[in-house]
Amino acid sequence: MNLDKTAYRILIIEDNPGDYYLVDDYLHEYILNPILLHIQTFAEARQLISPDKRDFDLILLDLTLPDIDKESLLVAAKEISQTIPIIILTGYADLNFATSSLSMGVSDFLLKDTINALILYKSILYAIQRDKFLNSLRISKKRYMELFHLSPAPMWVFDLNTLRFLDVNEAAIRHYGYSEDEFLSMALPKLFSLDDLPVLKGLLAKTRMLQSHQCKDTYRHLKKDGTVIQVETSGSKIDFNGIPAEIVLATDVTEKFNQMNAIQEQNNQLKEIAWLQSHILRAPVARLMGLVDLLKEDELEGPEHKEILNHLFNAATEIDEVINSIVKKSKSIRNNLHE
Amino acid sequence: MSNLPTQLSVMMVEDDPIFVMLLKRLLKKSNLDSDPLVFESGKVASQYIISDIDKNTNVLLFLDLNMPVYNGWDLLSSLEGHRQKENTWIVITSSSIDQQDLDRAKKNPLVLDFLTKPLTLEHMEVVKQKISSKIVLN
Repeated sequence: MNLDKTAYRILIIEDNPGDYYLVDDYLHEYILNPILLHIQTFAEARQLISPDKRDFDLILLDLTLPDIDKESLLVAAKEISQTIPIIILTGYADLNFATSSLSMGVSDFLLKDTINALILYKSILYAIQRDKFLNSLRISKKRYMELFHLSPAPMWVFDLNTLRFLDVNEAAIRHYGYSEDEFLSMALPKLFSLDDLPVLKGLLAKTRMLQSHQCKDTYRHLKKDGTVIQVETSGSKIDFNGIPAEIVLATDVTEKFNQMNAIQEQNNQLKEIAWLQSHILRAPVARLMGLVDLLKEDELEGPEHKEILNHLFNAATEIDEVINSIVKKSKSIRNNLHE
Repeated sequence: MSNLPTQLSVMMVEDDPIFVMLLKRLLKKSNLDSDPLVFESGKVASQYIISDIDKNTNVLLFLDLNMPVYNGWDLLSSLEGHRQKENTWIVITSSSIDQQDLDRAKKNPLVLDFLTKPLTLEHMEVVKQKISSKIVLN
């Protein structure tokens, strides 16, 4: 069989020279040029290993070291190695302990008495491949977590049954003013005023029926300091560590909303002007026209003629007043626009 | 020549004295009535029509739509069940035409016409024609 040409970087923490010699020997049986570093104490390991640099592909760890007991060793080793895979070397006496070490994140354990070159090689290969696979998973998970946590828009995940928050992102914390701990100890209704709880009910009913929701209508949320904001949300149902949940993205549209209101207000003023023109202005105009008709047709006598002229003048004055009030209103709209 | 009923009680509900004056002159000129009853309040007019005159009296009412508190619509609905279209002709008058008002007026059987102020002699002729044709039909 051809030797494995990968230059595996392996840290061996083993205080027994005889055992080390054996391991060294076995390794060279299947690997052409392993880069081996042998140390004898855990204190040395602490100095050497830095998770940021990943100087090693794998750590072979003897369970019985002179400077640390085995319980502390596992915890400490996992802590300093972070994601570097660890294989434990141990004797029969520690079999039970070694078995339970797997649940602590150790990749594998080998019994020194039964070890041989192939078993060791296979275990190393397996641990490294598995680590590569886990690593790509970690990266993709990290990417998704970043999408959530670094999103500039507030996002959160809430439990569809209890409505409690399960996760929130930085933007939500910044925007709503609650700390992460506060968020995680409260539930969705806290963002709603009492008056708006029916709105929440409607949203939830929709969410439970559909796989995702897109709320086109804006609705109100409360910040921690009581400020009311207008939000648009969209969300999707997700399984959050086994809990049926919804992930929600909230967009604060308060400014847009206020602008819409201002436009609406202006629209009302314009409608009022239109109404003024068609109704209030029309009345004195009709009066004026009626009076002029009268002047044209009738031969009126002196005092009556004068009276009609008076009425005409009054009607004209009234028209003037209405026009003035329209001008005033138009001006106020212009001023509002320039604000 | 129009064929008007011999007994026709002409009234107007109008709170603007100038329109009252103008309409009175038109009514006189067009030989409709030289002394119409004038109500400033729709409510008083409604009470008068319902309680003070006989059901069989022919009524021509010029009704200003836009009045505060009790407007033309209130008066119209108060007459429901009290007056018949066979002898009640209501002419709605308004300074401005609102399509909604117009549609609403058309639905009321008592409404003969909807006229925009100022009223003219031509308007009076139209009113006379319409009443005559209704009487012929009946």
